[in-house]
Amino acid sequence: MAADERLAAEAERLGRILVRVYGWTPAAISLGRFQAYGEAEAIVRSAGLPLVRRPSGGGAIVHGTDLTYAVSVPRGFSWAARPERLYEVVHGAMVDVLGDLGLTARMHRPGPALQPTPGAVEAFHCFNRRAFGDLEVAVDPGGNGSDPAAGGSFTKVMGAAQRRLAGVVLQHGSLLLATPTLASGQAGHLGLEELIGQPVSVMALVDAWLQRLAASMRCDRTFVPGPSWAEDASGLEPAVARYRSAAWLHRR
Amino acid sequence: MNPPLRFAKTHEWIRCEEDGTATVGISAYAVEALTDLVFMQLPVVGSRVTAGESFGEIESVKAVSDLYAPVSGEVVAVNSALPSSLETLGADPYGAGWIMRIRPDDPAAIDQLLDQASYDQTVQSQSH
Repeated sequence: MAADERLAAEAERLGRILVRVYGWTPAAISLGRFQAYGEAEAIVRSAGLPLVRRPSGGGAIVHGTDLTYAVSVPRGFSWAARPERLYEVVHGAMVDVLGDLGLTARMHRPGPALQPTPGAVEAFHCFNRRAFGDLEVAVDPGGNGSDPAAGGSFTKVMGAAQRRLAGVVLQHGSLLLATPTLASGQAGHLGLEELIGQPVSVMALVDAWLQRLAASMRCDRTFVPGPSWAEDASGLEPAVARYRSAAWLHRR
Repeated sequence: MNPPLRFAKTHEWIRCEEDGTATVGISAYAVEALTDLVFMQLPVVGSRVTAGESFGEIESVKAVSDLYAPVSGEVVAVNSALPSSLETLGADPYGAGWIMRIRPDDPAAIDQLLDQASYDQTVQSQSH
């Protein structure tokens, strides 16, 4: 989270769109900024997973079988003007990539945002919710586009949430590479591996996605090799301490 | 006649009141852009806010947005009913949807903010 926060600050300082992609070892649960810690306690205890809290909103995510991304867009770019614009361009690029893998993918477009009943275990998890920009994939081979609101044949594979600051917008997203089974209420969500019938080449998928994203955003793409996170990275320590603090984790 | 509103580029509005305080809220454009609102964090009465710095946060279904103080001052009142009836922000963003009332350090600073016409232009340019 500290690295993503720094990414956003750097994007604003440089006036450039920055993207970070990463996985999680060990698996962990991330809470949305305003999710009540009390809702997470029982689930975290039973799953035995570490818990972090994101600076972005939305529901909880069980990480470990997903690809997580952080996109930071300075306010000077039109993509940052309204929430839906950034969701459309970032997830729209992934729709194309999943199509190349033989999947029928689409972005969820409400109606009113679909929200499970507050207080239910199902409402805790991001992948049990549906809102604008969520990426869905047809489960049945025909991909007939039946309405997920009616319990139809589309399953959510990618969710995201934004943190909108005065100078920059940070969007966090999670793409399910395989079914997460480490927490209750989450086991039913199919990942790409289950939908395609074989493991996905993550590097190839990321490369294809970022290539399309750069084209959509009319930007040149520059790849910075190596890890994007180092706990002892210079100047990151205060942010790391803040995100590790009980005050942050228990803020609500 | 209602006193005129002034706006920050970050979409907060502010209105001077007769008692020397100023009421702060967020614009209809900002509320509409946020879509379905789910949570709001208000400042504490008695706390200080600083111009251009965050004084609270609001979460919609898809985004958490900071709220920025248009001018510096002391928080003298908050709309405590608002977090449990966020639909008020959409229904009446410039009236019942007020967020906080402050006592500005420098009332003249309010005149430096955008007037309605300038703010409308800002919104237009951001919409393209």
